[in-house]
Amino acid sequence: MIHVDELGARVIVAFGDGSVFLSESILWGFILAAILAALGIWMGHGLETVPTTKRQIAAELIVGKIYDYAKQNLGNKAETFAPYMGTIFIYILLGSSLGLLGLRPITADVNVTFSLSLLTFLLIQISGFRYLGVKGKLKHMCEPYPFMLPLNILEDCTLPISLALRLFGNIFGGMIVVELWMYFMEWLSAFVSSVPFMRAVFVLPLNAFFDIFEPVIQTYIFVTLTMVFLSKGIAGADKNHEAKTGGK
Amino acid sequence: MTTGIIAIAAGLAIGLAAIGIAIGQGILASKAMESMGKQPEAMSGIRASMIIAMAIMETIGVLTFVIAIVLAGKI
Repeated sequence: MIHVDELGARVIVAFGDGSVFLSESILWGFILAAILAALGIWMGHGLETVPTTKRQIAAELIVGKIYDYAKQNLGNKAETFAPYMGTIFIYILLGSSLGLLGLRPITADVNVTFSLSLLTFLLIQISGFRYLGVKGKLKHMCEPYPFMLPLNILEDCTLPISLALRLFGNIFGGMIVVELWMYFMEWLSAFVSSVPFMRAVFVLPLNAFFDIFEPVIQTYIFVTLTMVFLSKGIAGADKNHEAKTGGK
Repeated sequence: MTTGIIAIAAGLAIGLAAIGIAIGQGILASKAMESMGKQPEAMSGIRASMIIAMAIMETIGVLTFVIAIVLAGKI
């Protein structure tokens, strides 16, 4: 049965006295990052002006989609930020779908989601200073009225918390539901045969929902919110850009 | 005694949050359907913003889910 104390990620490798360790989410995260990096290098080498290989056509399709998607939200700053957005999109999407392989999804660990959302927070603040300057950033924080400054600071600080907990809660909840359903199916199939065959068959619809649909939606939301708050954070750096996106 | 109260609190937390979220999402979905019916050509845009708005509402439910898990760990 599931115990609340055992819901965290398991420690796989421990060094020394056990205070330094690799949990399974960190390990799968590293492996996933290595695989994605290798895949990216393989897809990106030997590019030609006129694509002839299927590899290059697939790569151009993916990159083009990501740039279009970034352009919808970020306007003329899209070229700068699209690589980051594409990277976290693919990383979160595959990391949340690890349940399909029977592994623990890496985003079902609050440490992973908090580090991802801290990246978003740093990205927004640093690009705010970079594009608006210190004075412009302070002025931006005082909009629309100077007495709104505490509220604006509060809003900036709650954004990473809500982003992290939203992703964590959805994936973690899905993981628990799938686990409980698998226990239930094991119990049911014990009446019929000694092999828990129902556990393998009837979990497929749940896998389709919680390991494919839900990660896609949550990843889309994570990246979209990152882009929306980023474009809000650097709004005013270019007046044309602000007018074009209609203040979104 | 305390254990029972904690269990009730965990159940109530997620149940009460679910009431509000259900009402909000129902209103949102009905309005989105209405506008899709009025303007079928804007369907994809409406659908995308509807899903995003729904997920933002769901955040409250997810936060209470985290609280309920923390409470359930204390039983």
